[in-house]
Amino acid sequence: MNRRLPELDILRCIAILLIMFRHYYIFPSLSKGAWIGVDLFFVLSGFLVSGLLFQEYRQTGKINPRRFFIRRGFKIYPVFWVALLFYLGYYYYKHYTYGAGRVWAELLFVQNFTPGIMGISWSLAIEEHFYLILVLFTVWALKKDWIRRQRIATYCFISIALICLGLRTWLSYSRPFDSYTHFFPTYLRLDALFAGVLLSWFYQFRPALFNDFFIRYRVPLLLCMLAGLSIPFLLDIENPLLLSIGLTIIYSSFTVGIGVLLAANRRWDHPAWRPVIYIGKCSYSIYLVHLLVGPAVAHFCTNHFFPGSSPYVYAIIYVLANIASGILLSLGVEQFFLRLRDRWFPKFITITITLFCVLPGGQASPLHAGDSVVTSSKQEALLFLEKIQNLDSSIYWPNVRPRWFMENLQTNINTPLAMYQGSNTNFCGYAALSYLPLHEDPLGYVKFMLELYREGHARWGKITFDPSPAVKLAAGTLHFKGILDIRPADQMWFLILADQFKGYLNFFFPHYHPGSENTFWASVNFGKFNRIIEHLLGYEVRSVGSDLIRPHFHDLFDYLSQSVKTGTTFLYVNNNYLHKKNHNKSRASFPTHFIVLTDIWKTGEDFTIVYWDYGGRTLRQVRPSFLKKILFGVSRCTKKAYDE
Amino acid sequence: MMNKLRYQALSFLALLYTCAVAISCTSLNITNYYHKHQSTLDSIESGFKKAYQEKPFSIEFTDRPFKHVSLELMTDSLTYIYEFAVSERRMDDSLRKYGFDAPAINALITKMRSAECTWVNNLDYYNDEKKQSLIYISLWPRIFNSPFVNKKYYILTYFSLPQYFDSEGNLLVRRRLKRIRKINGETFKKINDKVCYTLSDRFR
Repeated sequence: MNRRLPELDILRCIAILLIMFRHYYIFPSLSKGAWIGVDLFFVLSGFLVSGLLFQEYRQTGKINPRRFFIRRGFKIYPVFWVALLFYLGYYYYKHYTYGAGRVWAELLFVQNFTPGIMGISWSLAIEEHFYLILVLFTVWALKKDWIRRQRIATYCFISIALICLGLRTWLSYSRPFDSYTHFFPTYLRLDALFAGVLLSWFYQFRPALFNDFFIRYRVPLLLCMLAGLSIPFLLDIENPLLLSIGLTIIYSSFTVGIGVLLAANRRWDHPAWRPVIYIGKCSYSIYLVHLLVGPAVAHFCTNHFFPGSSPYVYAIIYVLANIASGILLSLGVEQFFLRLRDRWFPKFITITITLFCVLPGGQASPLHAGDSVVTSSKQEALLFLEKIQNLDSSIYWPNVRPRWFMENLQTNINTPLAMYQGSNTNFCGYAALSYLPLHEDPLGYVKFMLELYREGHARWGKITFDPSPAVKLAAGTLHFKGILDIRPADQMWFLILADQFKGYLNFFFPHYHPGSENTFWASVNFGKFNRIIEHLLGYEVRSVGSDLIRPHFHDLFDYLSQSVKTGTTFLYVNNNYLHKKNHNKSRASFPTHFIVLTDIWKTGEDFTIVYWDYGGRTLRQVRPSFLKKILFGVSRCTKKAYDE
Repeated sequence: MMNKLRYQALSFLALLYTCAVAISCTSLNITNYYHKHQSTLDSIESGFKKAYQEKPFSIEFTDRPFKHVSLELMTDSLTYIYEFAVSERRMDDSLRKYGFDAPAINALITKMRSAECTWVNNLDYYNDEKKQSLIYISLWPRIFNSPFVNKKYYILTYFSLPQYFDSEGNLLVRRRLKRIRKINGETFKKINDKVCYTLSDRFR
């Protein structure tokens, strides 16, 4: 999100137009539900503001709350204070009386709990409160190292959504309607903002999934969105149903709409869009003045220049005056302070040059400069192994013979491609992901394995491995697995990974028993595979696909060739077709095998792929339709550009 | 009337069941298959062994009519997998390009086709931590291709050294270690000291 997204400015323009029509009742049916413009602003704010934090985290590995608040302050306060002065001047001119408490409510941003001056700034108060909560949430997630965890992000949002919905339902059904108790409080509206946060999380951390989902299901999603957004135009704002689940449906619809619009990756270069985008850009200033300037100018003009004209003339003047005054305010104040902000408090300094690229076909992928980060060399690892003269038998691994263990480690370092999962095992996922440490941190790998061998437990990154006694006994005893029979270190490695990381496939097979290496106990599903790479090996994983449904690729070749160029690419494939074992016409249609795609090019109409699996590299020509048929997931892994 | 109809339905089901069992049983009568086709099967093994020693490869027929063949050509750095129509000129070109004995492999393919052999490969196994090799031949005879039979592949393993078996003819790991050896996840039965067979639902 280094570039400005025109889609969001267009949505802002729509939101501000809706709000303007909400406050001018020329079209009653439109005005009735046009208040949803605020909800659109909420989702957009959640998306954009959290996007700033996520983007900072992705590029620097940390978040600077101070800088964030200062930069937000420069964006929000100057225009707000100037607008407040306008309102106060207008009140003074009109001899309206108001208590000091109202001014304080505006200045302290509590005008969503107690009346302020402007009347429309209650939504700003919610946003201010949201900034605080969001930063607290993000810092907490960062400390816990949960910021990249999909499940945490999703559960956090679900919790907030349920709490807000519960409160809304309780209030709307138990008390008579009042805006300050039923509509304005922060705790009733935070879910809309956090829906934007969740959307932003997927946009930043799971771009492929984001695009795949919103492209694949765009038609039903848009139909649902339209249905959802029709509700406020049918029900009164005081309707408890609308105030409770209705608000949830509305912000969900907007979330979906934003997702579909972003995933569509349309170009908005046409000159006709420029004014729309510009209005969107100035929407904050327009929002602040629209209740004051528009009606005043329209009233003045229709009285003096167009007396007796139709309400439509009033409406046109009202809209134009609001837009013009908003643009002036934006040019004169907002953008001036934004320039100052960028001079005094520039955006975080990026460590890596990141180009956020949305590929054709809707697969968004950031292309990193210098993706392959080698943290230790083969020579370092071999030197480390050479220093170990006599390795004693391990009391923790009674069946692992030291000589074979050392030979195995040396083989893995010298010929990392020779790592073999064994015949008739479900270790292929673990063997595939070993490609990363063996190529990019062989020293880390041997140190870990030796510590594990000597101590019985070891730590890799932030994960401590303390294998179960059954696994310790099993290592070195696996037989009839081909060369894995004489590779006890690989047996240890596969067994501890299977023992440590669990997925839903482990539901009925949580513990190791002899023979478990060929059962679901050792199986790796797509999510588990990506999770291991992300959490254990510290890679950033961009994945698309699933365990059951094949992903959609607009241009498979382009996607895969880009992926291979920019990171280590794993394919999750249906092995019943890739290495078929029988000639049955109907074969199970689910993936069971991981391969490392190292190269791809076109040979006539076919693709030539070079991939690693079963302890070696294979070159093979395949038809595009065949590859599409077998491919259930693609994971592109890049080393994080910082140390967590 | 109702009783008559019921008897007819039961008779029909009984007949169907008998047919199914009969078909299944006929396909299980395979112990003599090797002896009937011994010369062809042994010549496939010896031909493959000789060609494999020059340069490693494997051959797989990918279809029932045995018209398409998939070759795995192993070199030091890469394994090339190509699929060809039988006797396609492109196949010879590829074999020569990677330094394989094209006439020998073509002859092998012809023999495999006649014997309905769907896969031939060299497998490594480990005995007392020493690497050993065997030749794994998967056959897909039409007589096994019954609709009620799942295990339709007749698999032969040719060992280079005499093996040990228990009293029921099951292949053992070692003479003293009375443990049944599994190859490719399958247990094998004795044909002779060096050749074993099994029936499987997968050819590799």
